[in-house]
Formats: sequence, structure tokens, C-alpha cells
Amino acid sequence: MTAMLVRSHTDNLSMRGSAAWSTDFDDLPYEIWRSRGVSRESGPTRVELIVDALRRVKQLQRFHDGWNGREAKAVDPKAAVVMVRLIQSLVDDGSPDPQISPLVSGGLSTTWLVAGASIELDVEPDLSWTIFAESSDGKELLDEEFEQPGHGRAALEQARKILAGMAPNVRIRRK
Amino acid sequence: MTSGGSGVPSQSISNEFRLYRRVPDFGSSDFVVIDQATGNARPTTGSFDFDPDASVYCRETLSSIGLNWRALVLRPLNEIYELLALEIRTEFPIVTHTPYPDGKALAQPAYEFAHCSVWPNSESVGARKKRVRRLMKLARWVSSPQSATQAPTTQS
Repeated sequence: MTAMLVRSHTDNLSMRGSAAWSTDFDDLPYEIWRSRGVSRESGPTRVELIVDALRRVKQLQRFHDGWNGREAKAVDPKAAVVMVRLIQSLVDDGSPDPQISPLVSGGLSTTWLVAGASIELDVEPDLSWTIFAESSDGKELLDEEFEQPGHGRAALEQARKILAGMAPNVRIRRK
Repeated sequence: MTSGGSGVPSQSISNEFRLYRRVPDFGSSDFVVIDQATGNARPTTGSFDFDPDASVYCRETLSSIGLNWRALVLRPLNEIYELLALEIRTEFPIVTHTPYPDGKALAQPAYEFAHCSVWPNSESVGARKKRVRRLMKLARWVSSPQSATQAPTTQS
């Protein structure tokens, strides 16, 4: 009884009047990344991805305790550092964008999602971390938990390869 | 049977009831991830976190007081997803009606009468996340954001 979420985000984009956007991905123009006014055809560089991740993490660190109206904790600064370091160890030029969100525990979660294939990386305030990856047809590729940031090199290497395999299918980038 | 703090009688939540989960936003769709190939969106695993319970709202109970999912949209980028009680119970068996969870009924919005709680199992964090991940894939999108401060873009 599994069914992926069916909403097409591009429908919402057309509701917001973005007339230039097409839902026909075969006609999409060649992927160009705009950064600091320079357009690149190959996607963001590794440095750009890391800088954007840092910016996003800094943005999330503005959340205070109770940010969800209940018992959520502010993002732990040490967890934030570990998350950025883990992202740094995974991304390369042209990688999919790390999509980072807070956890109510005070940790952080990063998701990469391309054509149904995904990697999820969570770091908790006690610096334990989990990594999960699955292919576009739902096959589990990776599912590990580690107690410390320094552990899990083999899992990270495997995740790096999975992420590299997802990169060619990227058609959409977040601004 | 009454709920804990409010004194308001709680109701039985049947398996066929539809439960709404509000995915919060803080200005930039923080708990929604975009598939960078298809443009489709889904909630993050963290959007269904336990704190200590996970709050959901029963559609049938909202209906009984003349409300619908729109009452749950508090911010422009809030998104509402729906699951059957049965689907949630497949992963987390304990789903209860907990009206006005913060106590005094009169001090809370009317939709809080429909508040329900999903309670976590006793298991590891990793095992719990696997269950939540399965639920997030089942979740059906109900609402659309009214506006967006951050939108995915194709590159041209």
C-alpha cells in the first residue's frame, strides 16, 4: 500500500505565477547554476554546496527552545558542526543539494532526494548520527547508526558513491 | 473517558478515521524536501517527530465541530498531510484522542478539540525513524502553500 506523495510541486509554482516553468522535464533547459551572478552549466561546486549548507545551518540555529510551540530544543551548536563536516565529506561538484531541517531533539537532519532515491543523515545533540539511503525503487542501500562523529567511514564512503550516482538526474535546484 | 488535562471527554479513534499532520514552516518550507528530478515534494522524516507524542488532528472530529483542514493552517507555508489511523497504527499502535492537550479548553483554538496523539514505541531511534519514514511515504498531501519565500527553480 505504498504510494509516494502525489503532489507536484511544479503545480504550486504555476499557481504562484511562475509562467516560465514547465512540468515537461524532457524540455528542461540544460542545468545552469547561478552563483554570485556567474552561471555554470555543471551545477554548484563543492565549495558552494558547503557554503550554502553553512548558511542554512546558521539560519536554523536562530530557532530557540520551544520553536515548534511545544518542547523542541534549539539546534545544538556541536551537532551543527558535525552535520556540516559530514556534508563536507559527502558532497562533490554538482552533487544534489543537501536539504537541511531541524529535529525537535535539537539535532539536524539532511536529506538528498533525486528521482525517488534518497539519503537521510541525522545528527543528534549527543553527536550520535544515523545514515539511511534507498534507491529509487525503494531498495534499502544503507542503514547505519553511529555513536560518535569519527565513526562510520565505510558508510560515508558508500553514501558518497550513492550521492554521486544521484547527481546526473538533478533537474531542479533550490534558490 | 476523559483526556488528561482538559477534562474534555475523549473519543475513540476508528481505524478508518483520517488524521492530519501539520508540517510546520518557519518561512522556507523547512520540513518539506523536494525531489530534484521530478519536483515532487514530501515531508521530512523529522516533520513527524515525537515531542513526546506526535500531534495529529482527526478529520471526522473537526467535521463534527464544523471545521476542516484549513483550520490547521496557521502560517502561509504550513502543509497538511493525511494518513488513515490504520496506517499510523501499523507502525505506532497507540493513537488516542487527546483534546486540548495544553489543558484549558477555553484558552485554546477550537480545532484543538480534534487533537490526537501518536505515541512512540519502546525501540531504538533508528527503528523509530524507519517507521516514520514509511509513514511519510504513505502520507497524502492535502493543502497547498498560499505563498512561498523560497521556491525550487529550474536552471536556465
